[in-house]
Formats: sequence, structure tokens, C-alpha cells
Amino acid sequence: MALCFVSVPVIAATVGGWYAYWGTLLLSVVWSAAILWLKISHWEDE
Amino acid sequence: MTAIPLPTPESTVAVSVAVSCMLAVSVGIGIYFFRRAKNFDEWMVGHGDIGPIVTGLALTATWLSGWAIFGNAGLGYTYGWSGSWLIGTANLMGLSLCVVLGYRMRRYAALGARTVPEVVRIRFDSRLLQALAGLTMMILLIVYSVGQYKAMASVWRLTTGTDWLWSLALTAVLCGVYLALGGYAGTQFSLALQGGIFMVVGWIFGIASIFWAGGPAKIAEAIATSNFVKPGGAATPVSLAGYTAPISPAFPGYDWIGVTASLFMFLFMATGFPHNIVRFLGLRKTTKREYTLLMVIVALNCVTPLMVGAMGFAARAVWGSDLMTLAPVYGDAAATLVSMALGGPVGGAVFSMAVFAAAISTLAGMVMIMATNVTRDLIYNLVPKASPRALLLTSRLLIIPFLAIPLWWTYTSPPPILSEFMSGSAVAQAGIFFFVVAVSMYWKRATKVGAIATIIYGMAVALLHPSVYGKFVPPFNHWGIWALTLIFGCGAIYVGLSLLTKPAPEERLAKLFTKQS
Repeated sequence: MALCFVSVPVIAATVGGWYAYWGTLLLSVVWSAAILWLKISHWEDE
Repeated sequence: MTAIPLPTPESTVAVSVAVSCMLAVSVGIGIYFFRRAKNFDEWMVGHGDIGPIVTGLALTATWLSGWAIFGNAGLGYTYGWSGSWLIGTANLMGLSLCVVLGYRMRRYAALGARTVPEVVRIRFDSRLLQALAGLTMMILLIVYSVGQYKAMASVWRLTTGTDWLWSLALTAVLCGVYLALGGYAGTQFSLALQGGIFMVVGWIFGIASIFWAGGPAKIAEAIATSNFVKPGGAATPVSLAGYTAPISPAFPGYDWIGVTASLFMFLFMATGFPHNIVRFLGLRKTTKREYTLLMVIVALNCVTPLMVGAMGFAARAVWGSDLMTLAPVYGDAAATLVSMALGGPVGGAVFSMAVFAAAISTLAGMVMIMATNVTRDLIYNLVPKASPRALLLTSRLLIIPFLAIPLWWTYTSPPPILSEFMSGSAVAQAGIFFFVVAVSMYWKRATKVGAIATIIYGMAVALLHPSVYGKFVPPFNHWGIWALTLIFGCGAIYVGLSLLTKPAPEERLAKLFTKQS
């Protein structure tokens, strides 16, 4: 997840353009999938 | 080159009909839920039986405001790629974090919490902290509300060519009606409807605009050769080709410090927004599968701001910098005009409906918070024997000033670039409430001294915003430095003072932190 977060400005600085724009979205999807997996695997009913 | 569309009598009628239909359905939902909100408690938080689809859509509706469905195109148009940071290309990271952390609000709802500051009171056993949190929310949310009216006012003026005051006053009245009648549950369902509307509309127009402008390559080429043009039309030598643009230190995309700050702002503010996290107070118990569904809905709607941002890039490719002379809306006109260019009066009407849906949903969520901040977090907090009937009536009446004050502010002194203005309040909410509310639900060692100091520090540093006093106090004239100082300063004070002070007794904490399976 940290890698996803750090990669956002890195791809903006190095790749730029549309690839960075939609690439950030892709990294965000990976992030949210990871955080969902963490939540589900440590599930509490609250 | 495609001509810039102008409002026509047809577009005025189409916009009026579309917006009226959306508001009429919202009022209908409020009337339906009126019968179910029998007392003050039920009006504030419903029956705790709202499902994951409605909660997911409602959460994205309060999260994605006029900023996302309207202001983002202005950012893309005005600042090129460097506008992406406030467009919120990484906004899904923040909102998915909110979904995970916010789910624990249900535990506090079961313990009697009906507002976000009440969660804080239960957590820290402090009425002072509840009142302070309520007061802080009110101040920050009033500022954020202005942005919602600016979005609606701008789209109304662009599509109808008429003065917006009375149309917005009527919109505010209808919003007040469904808030007063439907309370939390009615508002939650109206929000879900509105979130669904702007997700569908935003996706369709975003994709269509890229093809309308000649495709991604042509848009990228146009932005690469564009320079920043100031509102009013004065050209500058600052290129828009990169993801930073040295326009002014007060601009978040000025340099990589500003970029870093905007990324952390998006990461924390989705959870820090009280009108977001409160959506979980009424959520029913969910299965893992339902919870996953909630997250998928959130993910789908978090793409919408990027779609609207693309509309701004497309407008820049087609119209160059022409919109920067279009006072007083300037680049913020981009999305509306693209929707009219794409679909004529009907396109403009559908897009206007989406903007109204996005703006009114966030406004409604915030007004509800502010009204209950006064009645539950201040009045009831000070006078616990106050009659629930009187408190309910007072909450309903307070909706009027909380809708009217930001409307008047927008009418007399509208902010020039919508999203920039709103980011000031957003940073303060991110820095303060991410820690005081969300982290406190998970960190046993947090103390009320740490939480109180965090609120005071956050509000003091908020005054050093580059557009307020920061311009006189370097280095706070730099947005990134100001935002990082606020967010991480809040974190350092919260953690540091909590570790230095005595935590609540273990037996009290046990009922808040016992693992539930």
C-alpha cells in the first residue's frame, strides 16, 4: 500500500500525461483492494 | 473550432425541468421518511437498518461534492496536468480508508452516539470535547458549504443565462424541506439517489468529451503546448505540460511539496469529513460480501472526479484559453459548456442536474451535521434534561440559517476558483478529525488532552492558510508547507500529548475496544 502511495508522484514526474492520470487510478484500485482484504481478513462485526 | 455554447430559452426550460425533477424525487423521499422519524433520536440517525448499497452511494455523494462534478473540470482546464492533484486522482485511496475506519462508527451508535462529536464524547468521556468538536465542525463546514452554492450558481448561470439567486434560494428551500422531514434516513436515501445520478452522468460525459476533443493523444498534445492564463485573460510563460506548474506558492501543484501535501490531504480528509463518516452511524450489520459490495460502489464512483477532470482537459484542447475571459466563472465553466456542446440543451440539463445532485447532497449532509452540532452537541450537552421534542423542532428550524448563511456568502463574495477555496477547509478537517475521531476509535492510548490540543492547534494553523494570514507569514504563503504543517502537526500533537497524559481507566476502555466477532 505504501508503494502504491509513493508511486503516484513518481509516475507523474517520470511518465506524465494520461498514463500518470489513469495510472494513479489503477494504483488507487490496488490500494483499496489491499485495504479491503486486510479488513475482511481481520473482520469484526462492530 | 467548436463554438462556445450559449444559453438559450430551450436550455433554460430543460435545466429547470431536470433540476426540478431531481429535487421533487428528493422531497418525495423526505416525505416518505417523515413518518418513520418519530422522535429526535430517529430523526438524527434513523433505525440503524440502512443497507450497504444505499450507504455506499450516500457516502460517495457527500464525498464528491460540487468540487468533483463541477470544479474538477475547472482545475483541468485552468492548470492542465498540475490540476490533477486537486482533481483527486488518488481520492479512492482516501475514501476506501474511510470505509474501513468508519465501519466502527456502528459500535458507537450502539453505545448511544447520534452525532460525530458524540462519538468523541463517548470515546473520551468529555462533554467539553464534544462541544469543542461540534463548534469546530460548524465553522469549517460553513466554509465548505459556500463551494456547493458556487457550483450550483455557476452551472445555473451558464445554462440558463439568468440570475441564480432565486433558483438557488428555491433549491435551498426544497433541500431544507427534505432534510427537516426525512431526517437522517430520508437524507441518506436522497443522497444515494443523487450519488447514483452523478456517477452515471459523470462517466458518460467524461468518456464522451475525450472523443469529442479528438481523442487522448490530441488532448495531451494541446495541454503540452499550453501555458497558464490568469482569470481575466492575461497570459503567462508558465507551461502546463508537467504535473507541477510554478504559478504561485499558494497553488497546490506549485511544486512537489504541494503535491505531497495534496496527496496526504486526500488520504486523510475522506475520513476526517464529519459528513462522510456519519454515514456509517445508520448502517446495519453487514456480511463480508455486503461490505465488499459497499467498497465496489465506492470505487466506481471515485472514478467520477477523474472523468470530470477529463472534461476540463478536453475543453482546453478545443477552446484553448478562451474561457479564462469568461468572468466570473472562468475555467470553472468548462464542464457545463462541454456538456452543452456534446448534447445541446438536453446535455446541459442532464449535466446541470448532476451538478445540483452532487452539490445539494454534500450541502444536505453538512447542514444536517451543523444543525445537530447546535442541538445535540451544544444545547443537549449543556442541558441534558432539554425536551427531545423541543430539540427536534430546534434542529429543524436551524436548517434555515445553515442553508441561508453560505448562500448569502456566495452571493456577496463568490470564491474565484472553487476547488482551491474548498481545499482550505478540507485540510483543516483532514488534520483535525482524522485523528480526533477516526484514529481515536482504534488507538486506546489516545487521551482527551491530546484530542483537545489537536483541535486548538488545527484551527490556529488553519488561519495561516496562504489566502488568509499565511501570505504575511512565510513560509506559510506556500500551500504545501501550510497543509503539511497542519496535518502532521495535528498528528504529532495528538500522539505526543496523548502519550504524555494519563489515558482513561482500563475498565472504561474495555467496552470500547473489546474485539467483536
